[in-house]
Amino acid sequence: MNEPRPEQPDGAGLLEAMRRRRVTREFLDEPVSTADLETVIRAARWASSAGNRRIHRFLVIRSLETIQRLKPFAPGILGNPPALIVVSTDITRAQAEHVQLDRDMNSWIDVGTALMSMMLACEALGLGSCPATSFSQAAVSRALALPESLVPELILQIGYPTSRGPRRGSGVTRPTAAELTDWEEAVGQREPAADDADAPALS
Amino acid sequence: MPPEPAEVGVTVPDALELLAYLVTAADLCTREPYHYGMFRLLDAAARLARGLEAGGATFERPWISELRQRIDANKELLMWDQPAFEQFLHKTAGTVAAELTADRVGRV
Repeated sequence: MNEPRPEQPDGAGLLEAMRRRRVTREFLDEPVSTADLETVIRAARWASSAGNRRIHRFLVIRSLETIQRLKPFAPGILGNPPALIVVSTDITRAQAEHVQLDRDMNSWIDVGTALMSMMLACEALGLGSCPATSFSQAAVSRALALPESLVPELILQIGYPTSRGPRRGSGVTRPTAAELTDWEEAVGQREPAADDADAPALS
Repeated sequence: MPPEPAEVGVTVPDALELLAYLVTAADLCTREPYHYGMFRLLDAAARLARGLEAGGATFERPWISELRQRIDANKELLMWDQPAFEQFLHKTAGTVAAELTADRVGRV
């Protein structure tokens, strides 16, 4: 007999936040509280990390002067976010953990898991967020006076969205989960066959 | 009173910001999808137009403000409708050419 499952946390709320989240590129001129930013950072800490190696560092920037200084070197920042979190690889820590950064894909995957956790935390807090990788690593390192041991990988823009309504492009047709998925056998793109009726329904 | 010609133009800080943006955008072209380059150039044009607006150049050329507004409203088409984005690029180039051809103050 199966053991009863422990009570699930607010699974429906989490799934709804995942469905509802979109990137926000234009932000209100309203600061983000320290408490909220700490929550977002905690969410990054809760994210999975290959081997629990934790080779990334998070730099929170709220100085509008610094953000303005950074923007010309970060074309991926289109609007005026009131806060940024710069995710960097800590080379010293990576070496201590014997990570081979030139061939270990997990390092980037860890940036991705932390990013998604942070964006979902933002969604839960009513904040908008947008990741940016379109920046010059060399220029951003200089502009932020990062130590040589830190390599900036991603900048997360955070702030209150200018609009809570439907986002631009929300009417764009995207592939359904069924179109993106094969079951048991990878067959690539093809028309669904009649016997796909047995496959779990996805949308 | 229209501003004197010497007072019209992009400030040095705005020009330096645009310079930084352009060299960074060129660097990003080495690793990003090719069509991002179109977006960066268009965005740079909007930044230049914004600098010209701030510098008083639109007193005699209101089309600069209109152009900047149209760019800001349409540049993100790239993300969900690339053919429409490319149409916008074609049309924008034509618009600027028409304005500069008719411009008796400018040198073009």
